[in-house]
Amino acid sequence: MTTPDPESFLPLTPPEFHVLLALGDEALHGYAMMQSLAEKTGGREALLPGTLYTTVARMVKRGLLDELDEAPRPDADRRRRYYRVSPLGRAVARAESARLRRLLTVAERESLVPGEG
Amino acid sequence: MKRVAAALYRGALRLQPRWIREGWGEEMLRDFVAGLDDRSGRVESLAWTGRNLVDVMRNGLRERRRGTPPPPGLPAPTGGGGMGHRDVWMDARVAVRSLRRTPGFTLAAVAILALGIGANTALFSALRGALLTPPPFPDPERIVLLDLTDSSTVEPERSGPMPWSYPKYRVLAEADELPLTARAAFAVRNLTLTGAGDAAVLPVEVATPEYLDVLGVTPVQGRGFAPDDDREGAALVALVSHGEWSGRFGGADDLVGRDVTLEGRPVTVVGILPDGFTGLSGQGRYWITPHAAAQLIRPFMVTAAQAHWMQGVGRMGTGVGLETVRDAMAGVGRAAEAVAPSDDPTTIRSGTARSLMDVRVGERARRSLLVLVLASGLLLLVACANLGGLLLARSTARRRESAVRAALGAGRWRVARGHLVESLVLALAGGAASVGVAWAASTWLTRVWPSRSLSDAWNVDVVGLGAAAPGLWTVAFAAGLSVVVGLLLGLIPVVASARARPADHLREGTVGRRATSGRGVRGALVAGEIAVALVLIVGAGLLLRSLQALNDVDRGYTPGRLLTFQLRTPASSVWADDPAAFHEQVETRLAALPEVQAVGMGCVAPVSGHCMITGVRQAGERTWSEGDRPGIGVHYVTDAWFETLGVETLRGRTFDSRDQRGSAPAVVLSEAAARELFPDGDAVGNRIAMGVTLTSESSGATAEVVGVVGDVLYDRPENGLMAEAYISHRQEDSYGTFVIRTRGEPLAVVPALRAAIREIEPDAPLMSLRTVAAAEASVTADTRMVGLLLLAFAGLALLLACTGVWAAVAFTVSRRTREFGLRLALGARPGQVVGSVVRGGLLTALLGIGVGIGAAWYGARILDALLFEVGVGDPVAFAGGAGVLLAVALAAAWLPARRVTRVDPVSSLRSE
Repeated sequence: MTTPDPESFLPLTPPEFHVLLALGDEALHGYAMMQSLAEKTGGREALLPGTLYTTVARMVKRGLLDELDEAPRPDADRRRRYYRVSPLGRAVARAESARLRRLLTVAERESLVPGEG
Repeated sequence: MKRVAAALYRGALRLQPRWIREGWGEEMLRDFVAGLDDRSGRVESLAWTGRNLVDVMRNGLRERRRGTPPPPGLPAPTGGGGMGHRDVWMDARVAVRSLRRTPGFTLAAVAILALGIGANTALFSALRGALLTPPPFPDPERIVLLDLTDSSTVEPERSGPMPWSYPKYRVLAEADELPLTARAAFAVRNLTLTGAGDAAVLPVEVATPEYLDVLGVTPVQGRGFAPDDDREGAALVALVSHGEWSGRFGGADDLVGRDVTLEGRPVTVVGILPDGFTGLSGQGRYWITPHAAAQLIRPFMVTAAQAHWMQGVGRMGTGVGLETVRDAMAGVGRAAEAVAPSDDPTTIRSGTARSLMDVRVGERARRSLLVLVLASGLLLLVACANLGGLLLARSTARRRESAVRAALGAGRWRVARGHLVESLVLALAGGAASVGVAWAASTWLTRVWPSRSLSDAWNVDVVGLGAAAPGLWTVAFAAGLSVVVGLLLGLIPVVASARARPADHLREGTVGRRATSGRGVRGALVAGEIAVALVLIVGAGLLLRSLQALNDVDRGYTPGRLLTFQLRTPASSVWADDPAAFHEQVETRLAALPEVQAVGMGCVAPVSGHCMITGVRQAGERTWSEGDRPGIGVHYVTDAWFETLGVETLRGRTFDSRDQRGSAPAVVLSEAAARELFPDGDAVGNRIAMGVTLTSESSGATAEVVGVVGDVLYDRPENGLMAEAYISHRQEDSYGTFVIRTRGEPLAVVPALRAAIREIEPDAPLMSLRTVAAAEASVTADTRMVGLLLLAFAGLALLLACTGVWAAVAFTVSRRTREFGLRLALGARPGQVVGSVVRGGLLTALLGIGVGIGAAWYGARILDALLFEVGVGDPVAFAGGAGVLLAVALAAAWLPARRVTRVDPVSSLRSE
């Protein structure tokens, strides 16, 4: 199996990027991802279960997320399914961030970024 | 409350694809319920439930549309992949929204497309009706026209097929060597029907009994003709068209067996023909046999071997080739001619056969149709190029949008699809509107181009442009053409942007350089428009010059206020035995009308032909051997003929009471005839002999030339003036074509005319009533129509090409405002800047004109057969066309270029 080119996954949909951001280095279950994202973005971004799980399902299928076989910590809720960003997912997240940064640069040059120009 | 919400959520989960529902459904439900637990209060809980229901359903549908993703390692689907119909539908909605934001552009584009597609649809329908739709008979390819041929050793160019006389047709009918399953002869005559509503003069096909077998038609009621119906003394019987039966006779059950009154005589209806059947003439309402016609019209119709009035037709047996029939017909033609040889030894008579499929549309009409179809195609091409330019400008203006979409991951195909869908939406809107245009154009075309002027064959008129009426087929053609046009248009911006990388466009706005991509494509489009427009302009110019030349041919008579009509004495009339007396009576009565200035009678009106054409055997001392005899047209006319037409008597006299039946035959020559036959100018007093006997009682003797008159154009203008000889109608009766010069508006005297004639003979119908001007116009009608249509196409193409130039220059000006501002700020004079812009536009125009001249030079050959006295390389048409185009292009470039001078250098520099 060849390693897919991370660029070929771009651009990510907002929910996909949100999932990657919510997980970070951690292994979380779905509900925790929703809380994590809200926390990390100061409540500005949110994922509802319907969006979250369809996105997770797709990302698992495409190899961007790994589902853990067992709970990551002894104290974790064992009824839950836990997810972690795969190495490929990490590369894709970096590529997407770079892409957004390039766009942001353009936006800055166009005086589209608030607080500048 | 919680249980109800959970149940609803579970139901909504059904919308998720199975692989997600089974893998993650429980998780979703659990987290939804956990979220619900976190909510306190009814309102918050309700809001959470609502949002989640929408969320899970929307995502479910979206996932179903996207399908199962590939496993890791395979290429991931890109954002714009696939072409699901939902995506296209969305693109279409986006396109409609964006087109509605620019109503001016959209309306103009739809109008241009409606005209272009409509013109093409109408003309292609006409072409289809005339050339592709087979005649409405079973196995029409087996139907042949059987002709006598008439070639003249005097004027070989005038040779051609001729009709049959009844006695000669009997030879054809009995010729066993012809490989035909049926054969017949027919002709159209106008007969008066009375006793069923208002009296009416109706076209009646006179046909021999096997006519219906030849055409493969059987009556829907009653029977067809039997051989015994066409015998001396047979009872008068008729067949009736379905239209007459259902209209005039109200579909009466008992029409078969009843009598109808034709020419005042009872005729028994024996059969009713199928719906839509009108015979080969395309106009038959009733059918009678030749022997019935002899009783109703004139007895000589079946007895006179020299009265050629019927077209022969036959049906070939299976496996028989046209060549076989043609070969056999040569012998049959000669045998038929032996029945009554022509007394003109310069005449060679034989026989031939033509396929109905070949002759139903004459060569000239075929060519004209082809030219118009091509021209409308070119017009559409210009329209496409023009719209392509507009769409290109539109897409350039929205390039940043496309670039952002591309940068955000929309594939090239995805962006291209947006363009394609937009132009398809435009084209389909244009196509829908074009059905109206096509309908109007078809109606007009059928009116100005009556089907009888389509075919060269005598009395054969089975095709029409009527099939051009809009039906399912028209709509399908318009729709198909719209799709092609839409794709073509949509590809233009795609091609233009193919080489551009998204980053260039994103950078462009800030760095501020000029528009580059698409500029070459736009220039090429404009040049192409100009080239095609020039081809159309040159074509129109050639035809109009040709029309001018036709109109400039000297008619030889004083035009204006001339009316012409034909008068027939019915067989039942008291005048039947002495038509000359009847004609004389009519002439006298009409001349006495206060509205009438002069009345004359002859065989044919000007530009309508001759009584006959023959060869001159002897003139004075000069004689010609057979084969060298100069051709001459012969006319039998009344004394007032020359005065009525305004023809001058140059020498000697015209006819008067000295020229009587039985007195020495006298001839008046036209100037051309006198010059040719008597080059020494001694025509008057000399004697002349023709290939035929000139009068029935002079038995071929020579006739004295008593006068010379001015030349009159009796033929089509393109055939030019011809030598003519006139003989008094008292020495040989004429066919009763009257020409009247009125004091006022010609058509205003018609009621008085009819009243006067009715007093002499109530049953003599006026036929072919029209002004001589209308007769003339009908002769050049096809040239005029094709010329005017081409001119209209050329005008539209010119307009489009100019807006193309205008838009291109205006676009350049607006894109380069900053540069011009800079140049003005640095001291350039406004004139210099305007000049440089105009030069750019002009260069494009010159390129287009160059290409256009080449294309027109090559393409004009197709017009050759339609031109009169104008070469296909006519310098006036070419130079004129190029000049007009150049001048208009110059104006179109200069108008927007002027705006440069109004550029304020400071504001233009600040503008970016």
